[in-house]
Amino acid sequence: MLPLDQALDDTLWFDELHYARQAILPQPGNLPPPAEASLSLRGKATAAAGIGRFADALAARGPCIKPQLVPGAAKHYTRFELVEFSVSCTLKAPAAAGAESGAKP
Amino acid sequence: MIRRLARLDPQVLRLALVAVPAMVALAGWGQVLRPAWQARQTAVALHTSTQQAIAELPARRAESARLVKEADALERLLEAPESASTHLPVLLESLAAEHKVDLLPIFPGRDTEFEGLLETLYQIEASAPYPRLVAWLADIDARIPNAGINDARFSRLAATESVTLKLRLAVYRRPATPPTLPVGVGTQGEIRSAPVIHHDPFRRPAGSTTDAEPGQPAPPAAWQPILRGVLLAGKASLANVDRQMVAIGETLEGHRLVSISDHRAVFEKDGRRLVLDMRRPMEPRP
Repeated sequence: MLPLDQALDDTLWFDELHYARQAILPQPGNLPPPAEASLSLRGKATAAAGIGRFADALAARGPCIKPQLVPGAAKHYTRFELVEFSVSCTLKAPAAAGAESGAKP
Repeated sequence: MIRRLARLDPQVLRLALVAVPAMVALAGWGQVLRPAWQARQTAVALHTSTQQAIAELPARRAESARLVKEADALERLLEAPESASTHLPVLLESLAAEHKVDLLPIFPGRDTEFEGLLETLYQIEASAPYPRLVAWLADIDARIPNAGINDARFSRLAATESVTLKLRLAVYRRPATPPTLPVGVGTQGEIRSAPVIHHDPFRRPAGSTTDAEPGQPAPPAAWQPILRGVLLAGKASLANVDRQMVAIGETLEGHRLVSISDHRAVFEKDGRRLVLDMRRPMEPRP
């Protein structure tokens, strides 16, 4: 949560944030799965440049490996314009990301 | 014999005198000296590594003792009474109450057992503003170290600042280990301070309530003034906002008017600027 917070600025906000991690224990008869976690975000921004900055910050200072940015439609409202976006990425291993625990985002 | 040797060519004799000792020396090196030299080298290497291992023995013993302690501590975590399926919902609810998080009833879900480790998955649904949910999760992390988040989905509720969290929490225990200690908030370990987050990414900026579809009018924001006109006179300039004349420095609905220019009036509140434009009625500025 903290690296994500550090990557944020006030020009964008989220509608949805989804963290998912592979189960640690294997199903009977299978090998243990690789420890892998992913993050996906969906939100809106007041400027497209802010989305780019956020994606860059996620990779540079945040927890993401090569975030995939999908710009959405620009919505025109009576008084302003918003750009929808979604970002998804695989999370860095805890040691590399500087996180406190491998099990927690 | 000597007569026969005397009859030999002196050159052949000299060659024989050189070749025979050389052959003897080569055979001796290959059969005796080289194996002996190799055996000595091996013995020296073995001796060195044995001495090194002996020298490292105290450090290895200390490391072994540390690992045994760590394994014991981890083993105790797997037996933590607070994470038992009978007690965990109570703990989660009490932590939720501390952080003012609304929590739906929790029931243990599917169990998976693998090599003496039991994983129980809990489906949890909670709602609160994002910073409270984060603080609650941090407390869960600190209080239940044998738990891990498998899935967390934060979704903003339409037209509110509240966020719904759907959480899948995996708790790891030894199978069939009944709890032996009473459960209660604050009975185990120290609680880490809540993470300091500086943004609530689920809170929309003022003046940008946008749950309506494009083309439709947006839901009303807290303050949506309309700039109807400006009167430019230096420091004495005036702005007509919602048919109300406002001078620079005056406050309207908690927003202080900081400047007036052609077609525009700029208000400020809590460090946020709100630019009113007669051509574009309202525009959020970070």
